[in-house]
Amino acid sequence: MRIKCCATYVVREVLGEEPNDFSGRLAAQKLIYLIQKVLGINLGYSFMWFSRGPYSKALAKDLRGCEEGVKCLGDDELRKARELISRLRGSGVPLTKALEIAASYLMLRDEVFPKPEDPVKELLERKPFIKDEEVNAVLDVLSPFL
Amino acid sequence: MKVLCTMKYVFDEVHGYIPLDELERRLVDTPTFQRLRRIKQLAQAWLVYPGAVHTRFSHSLGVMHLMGKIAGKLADAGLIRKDDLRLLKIAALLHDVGHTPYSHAIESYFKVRYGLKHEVIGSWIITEDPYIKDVLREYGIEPFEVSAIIRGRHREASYNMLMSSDMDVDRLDYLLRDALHTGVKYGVIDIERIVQTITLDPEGYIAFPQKAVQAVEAFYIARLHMYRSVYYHKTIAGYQLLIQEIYRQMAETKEIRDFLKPFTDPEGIRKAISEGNLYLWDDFFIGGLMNLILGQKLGDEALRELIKLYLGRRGYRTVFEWVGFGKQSPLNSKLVKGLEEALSRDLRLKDERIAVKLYVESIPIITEGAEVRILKGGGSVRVNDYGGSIISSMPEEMGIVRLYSLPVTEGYTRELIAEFLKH
Repeated sequence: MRIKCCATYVVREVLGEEPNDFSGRLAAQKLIYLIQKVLGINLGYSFMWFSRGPYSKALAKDLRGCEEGVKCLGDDELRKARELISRLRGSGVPLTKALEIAASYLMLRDEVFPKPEDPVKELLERKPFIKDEEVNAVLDVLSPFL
Repeated sequence: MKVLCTMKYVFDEVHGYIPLDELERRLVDTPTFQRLRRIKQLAQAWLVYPGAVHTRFSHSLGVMHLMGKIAGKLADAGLIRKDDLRLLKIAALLHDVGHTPYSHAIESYFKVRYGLKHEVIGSWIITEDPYIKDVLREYGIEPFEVSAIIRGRHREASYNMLMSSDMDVDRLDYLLRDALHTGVKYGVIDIERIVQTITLDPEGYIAFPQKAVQAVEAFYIARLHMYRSVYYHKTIAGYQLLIQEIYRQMAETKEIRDFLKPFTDPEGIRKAISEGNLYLWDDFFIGGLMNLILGQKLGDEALRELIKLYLGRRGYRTVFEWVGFGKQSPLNSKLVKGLEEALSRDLRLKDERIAVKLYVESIPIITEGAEVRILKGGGSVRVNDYGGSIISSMPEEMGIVRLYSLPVTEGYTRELIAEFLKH
C-alpha cells in the first residue's frame, strides 16, 4: 500500500537533498524504483516503462506535491538504501546517470514484454547517450545486490 | 493464425462510424467485453449531469478508433512498426476491460484496501479470461503483449506513452465523450488538429510541431476545466465517497458478503475471471444488491440508511471547500492537519468516521515526466518549458480540500468549521 508523501522522505534521507528540479525528480524516480526492486522494500509505487526508464505517475505526484515527507522506512532499510547509493556514487558515473542506467537495465531485464534477449545491448541501443563502459561500471557495483 | 476479412461498422456519437474487423468483433462479442455496456463511464456523474450515462463500452471503441488513426499516422511516418498496429488497437480496445462497476468509485475501495487497480484486473482478464485469451491466441496475438501495453510495460516505451501519458488516446477520447454527455462546453478539444500533427520526439515521447501548440494548449485547458466541472466536482466526488463506503460495508458485513462473493477481494475477482464469470460484476449487480438489502432488510440499519441516502440523492454535502492553484499540493498542508486535529478533538465528531469525511486531492495540471513535448531544433522541450506557449505560465498543481458531511451531522460540522475558520 502506497503511503502518500513517503517518497519525499526517502529521497531526502537517502540522497541528502531535495528533488527540486526536473532532473532531480527524474533521479528520484529511479532511486525509488531501485529501493523497491533491488532491496525488496515495497513502497507501493507501480512503474511503467518510459523512454527515460522506470516511471511512476503516483510518484511524480508525490514528489511534486509533498512539502513534508512521511517517515516510511526503518533504520535498517535506510542504511541499506544509503549503501546502495554510496556504491553507485563509487562507480565513477555521475549519480543521476548511474541511477538511470541501473533502474533501466533492471526493468528491461525483468519487467518489460517482449523480453529483450540482451538487456545491456537493448539499453545501449535505446539510450545512445550512455556508453558501454558506464553500463559495466554501474552493473559491477550493483552485482552484490542482485 | 486466422486471416481478417470483412469490416462491420458501429455508429459512435463522438467519432461517427467506427470500423470493426473480425478479431475486434470477436472480442467485442465476448460476455466479458459486453459487461462494459453495463458500467457507466463516469460513475456517479449522472447524479449531477443527467445525460452522463454513457458507458465504458462506447469509450473503449472510441479509444481503439483513435489509436488506429494515430498509430496509423505514426507508422506511415516510420516512427512505429506497421506490424504492431493491430496489437496497439487491441490494447486500446481492451484497456478498460478490468474496470470495476461504478468505475473509479468502487475501484477506490480495492485500491485503498488491497492496492488493486483496474489495470491489474485488466491484465488478469487478458491473460486468464477464457473468452478473451482464447480469441487473442486464435488470431496470433500474444495476450501478455497486450497486457504489457495496458500496464505500461511494453518494451517499446512509445507504445506505453500512447496508452498512458498526458495526451494519450484514452484521455483524448474521454475528454470529448464526457464533454458531450455532460454538456460542459469548455471540455471540447481540437481532435482533428491533434491527430493531424501528433508525432514522437527522438526519445519516443509524444510531441507536436511548434505550429500545433494552440491545439496542445486547448487540450490542457479543456482538461483543467473538466477536472473542475466533472471529475472532481464536489457533489460527484461526494457520491463517489458514498458508494465506496456502501461497497466497503457490503464487502465487510458477513450477511451481505455472501451475496457479493466472489467480488470482495483480489483472489475472488481473479477466480471469477479464470472461470469466465466476471461478466456478472456490473453496475446492475451492485444496484440490484442495494435494492435487495433494503427490500429484505439485510445487514444493519446504518448500511441501509446509507443506501437510502444514495438512492434518494441525499448523500454527503460539502460543508467546507478550498481550491487552490500553485506549485505545491495541500497533501500534508497546515490546513489539512488543522482540519484533522479539529475533527479528532471535537467530541461530537470524534467517532463519526462515516458521517464526516475529509477529502484531499492534489491534481497535476501537467504531469511531470508524462507531459507533451514540443519539437525544437532537432530535439524537443517539455511543453511547460516551451516559452511560446501559455502553458509555461500555467500552475502545475490544483489542490482541493473538502469536508463532507451526511445530513445527520451537517449542522454541527458547519459549527465546527465556523469555529475553525475563526482561528
